[in-house]
Amino acid sequence: MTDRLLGTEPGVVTVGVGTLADALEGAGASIERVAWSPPEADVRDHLTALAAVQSRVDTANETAVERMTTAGAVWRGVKKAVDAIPELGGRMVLHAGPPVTWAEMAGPQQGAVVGAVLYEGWAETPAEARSLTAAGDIGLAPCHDHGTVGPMAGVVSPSMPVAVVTDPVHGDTTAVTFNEGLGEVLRFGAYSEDVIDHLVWMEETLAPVLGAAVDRADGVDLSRLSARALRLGDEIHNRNVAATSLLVRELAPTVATLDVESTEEVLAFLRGNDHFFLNLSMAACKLAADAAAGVPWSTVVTAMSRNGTEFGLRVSGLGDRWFTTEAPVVDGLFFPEYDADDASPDIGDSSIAETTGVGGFAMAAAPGITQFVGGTPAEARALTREMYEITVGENGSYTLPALGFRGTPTGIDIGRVLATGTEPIINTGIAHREPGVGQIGAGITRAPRACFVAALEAFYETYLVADSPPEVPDQ
Amino acid sequence: MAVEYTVLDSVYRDSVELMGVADEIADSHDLSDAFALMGTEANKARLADLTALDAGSLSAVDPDDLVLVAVAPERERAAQSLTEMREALEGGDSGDAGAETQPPTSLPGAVERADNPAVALVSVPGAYAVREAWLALHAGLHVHIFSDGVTVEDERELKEFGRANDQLVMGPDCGTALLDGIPLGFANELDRGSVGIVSASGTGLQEVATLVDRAGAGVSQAVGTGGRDLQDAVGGATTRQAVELLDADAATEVIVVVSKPPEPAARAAVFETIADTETPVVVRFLGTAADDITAVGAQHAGTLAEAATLAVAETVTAEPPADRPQAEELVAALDTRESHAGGDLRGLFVGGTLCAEAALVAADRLDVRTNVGVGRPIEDPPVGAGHALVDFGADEFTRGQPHPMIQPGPRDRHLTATLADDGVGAVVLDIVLGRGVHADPAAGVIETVERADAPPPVVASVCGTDSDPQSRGEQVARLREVGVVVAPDTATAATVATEVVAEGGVGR
Repeated sequence: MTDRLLGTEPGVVTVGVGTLADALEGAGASIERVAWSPPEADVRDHLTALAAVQSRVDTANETAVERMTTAGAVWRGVKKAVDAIPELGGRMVLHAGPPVTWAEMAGPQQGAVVGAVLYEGWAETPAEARSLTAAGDIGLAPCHDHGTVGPMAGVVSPSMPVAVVTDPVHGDTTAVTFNEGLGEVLRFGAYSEDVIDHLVWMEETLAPVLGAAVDRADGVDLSRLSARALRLGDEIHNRNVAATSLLVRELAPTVATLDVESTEEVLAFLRGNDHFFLNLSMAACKLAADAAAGVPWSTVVTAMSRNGTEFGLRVSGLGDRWFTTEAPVVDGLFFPEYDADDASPDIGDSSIAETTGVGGFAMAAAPGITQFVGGTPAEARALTREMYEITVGENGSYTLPALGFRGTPTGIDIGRVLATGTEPIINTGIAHREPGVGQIGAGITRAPRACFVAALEAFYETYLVADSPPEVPDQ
Repeated sequence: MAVEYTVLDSVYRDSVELMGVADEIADSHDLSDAFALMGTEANKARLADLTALDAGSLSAVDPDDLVLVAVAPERERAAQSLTEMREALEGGDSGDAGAETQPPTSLPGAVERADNPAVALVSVPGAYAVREAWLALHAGLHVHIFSDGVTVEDERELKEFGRANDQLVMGPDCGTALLDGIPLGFANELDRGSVGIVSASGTGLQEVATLVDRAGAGVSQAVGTGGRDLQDAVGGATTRQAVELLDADAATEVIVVVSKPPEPAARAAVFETIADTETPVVVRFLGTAADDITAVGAQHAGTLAEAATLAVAETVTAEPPADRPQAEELVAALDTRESHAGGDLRGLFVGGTLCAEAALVAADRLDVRTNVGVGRPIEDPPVGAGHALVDFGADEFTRGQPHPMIQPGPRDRHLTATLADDGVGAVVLDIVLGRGVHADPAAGVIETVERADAPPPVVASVCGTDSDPQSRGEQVARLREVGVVVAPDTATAATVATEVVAEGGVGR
């Protein structure tokens, strides 16, 4: 028996007419107002149908985000790509983004494929490489479908050295290429002799040193480095200088014990490449995303990726299906002599960072690059706060000092994205639209809404009107 | 073309910041070009390439120096830009000190942030309200759906879920509720007490609650159920749930159940619940015979006012009701210089149930038309003809418009025409007070009556308490000043107005 229906000091959540909330507040009630805006008409009914089963979806999403945030990433060693990714046998090249044909492929990605074909020795000249690929003699497939991710063009070919990274919690493995540095490089579509020579140097000089150092160090915990870097001003997508420095500090003592001549060269290369950690950061993010994949009823995004032609999205409860739309153009800052007309549409797998709650989602951690978002650290913090509105959970391992050590916003929910009209922010570099020119700027973009609409439609068909939708697995 | 440059010794800035500053200056000063670069060899070569700057002049610049360059048609503009670029880079304060907040943009987001969230008040347009209601229910909250325009199928599904999970779904189209003293929707300032109210009608709830309060008793809980709860498609789901809840509530000594005319199966289901209730129950179902109600062990009330009186009588704490003027006294006090017998009765209401209550009273003696299901339908609302009582809060008037309780303008404008109509013999109307409604709801009526040339008698009921923000006492006094007859409740107001126009009515 009680004279209270609502418990002690109950709070009221209000959504809608302001005067009704005012009236409640005037009467002394404790209220929390929703800054509501109506969802677009094209998704309204599906969102309502989704909300009707929200508990079930919430349970699945919590499972997915739990997996995402508990995933570990330990760099175990260095291998040849073909040995780490068996599907690379034969003449096959992996690329960033959702599937794309040679004909549809963006300039920088085509350039990178040409470079990879030359590097592998499958062709003598760029023209020959192009006609081979155009003829279908070179297999093309997304990195994401073969357990890897790559920045910008994201090209991986069989002979490239890769870092093998494992998730000790969920047992998954990924293998990623090493970052080449800035300037004229393969990932921006360059394929000159210098580019190929540098790839060969990475294979013959860099990889053996790193491999031996990691072996001797008995693995390097990348998640831990990422967490520390977030405290040191990186968002580990567009700013990796702290993480790279931490990594070098980690490796240097063992590198020094190696009995090879090239150690100085290798350390000098690492010192000169602020973004060396990017690919490794992406490996950690890929493991986190893969851990969260395949949870029935989950609306959590498990991949966001672009190939310069299309932007693609994957959703945990919808498996390996890609939901794609035209790749957006990035709103950015350009190096002198370039402007938006020179820019390739958005490209690269590196948005795996935002997929798992870092990069643009951790903008509050990186005041040094706030010019991308308008200039002030306050605006960077506002962006991160905005991302909490569309995510399911927070990553307690990746904390943000500027937000009182709150965990990064993690696990994008397609329902929340469409209901609030807030698309995920993505920090990114901007490639020149012509192959080989390289990076011409950097900036932010938003994941395009159309992919989320398509994913919601598929979720509706799969779960909300199906006769026998998949079951939520036991916890 | 003038090229100006300056070197800041040992000043480091991130290239991203530098790009931003250079872009901004180039834009705001319409420069041909602006650069802010660290003095690396590559950058120096680039500057020499792009700006006709003499490479030699930069030979002493180190990689940890910052180089600022402005290119403009006039030297003065270039120099001025350099100064500003320098200031922009040296100014450290980003102006973002202090607490920052961003409001939640979704209901689950608000639930995460709220202290002890227990109930959600949903008043977004009906097409969106169902989603918000589901989110509230799945977050474990009771939900008050103020919005209308929700399908009956959605209502049934929401209420089934709520019932299965012991969560109240109040609404859709639920104007008011009072839970643990928290006023939801339109709500009067009421003393806490022992009368529990369950009502499928917003203004019906307000009428009973304010009369209980004015009689010196108080309200324990008041649960609005939404206007369709006693339709068969909904089956009285929330009404039954709320009656059970109040039956188990130690603070509730009597339960008043109110509804517009219920449908048979829903009424039967509610009666089943009432029959099992230990707490005394008073029922005011418009259009239901007394015998049907007494058969399930409840007391029948013929009007909302009677429901309040019966409920107050059940409470141990209530003082004897204050004297209220009866209809006869009010009629006797009317100006009788001119007879209005045979004239039309017109009702102009903002409360739907108040309109129906008045119409039922009038229908005993007159052939009435309404838009609330009593008597014959009005052919041409809101104008009407003959004895016509109109609810201006009905869906047909509120689509895309604020409810007349919030914005009584449309009703008041129609009053002007009604008072000017020679065929009208008496007008009955309601004024509803409380939080969330218009700040001075009587003002429009007062102004209209004051302006009218020899208007017929206007009889009003004022639903509210003296503690309401608009103060009932003050509203009543101002209405009386301009000659409006104020009755203690709606049924009495209707009785008085009917008497004026009925055969053998008031006056010579």
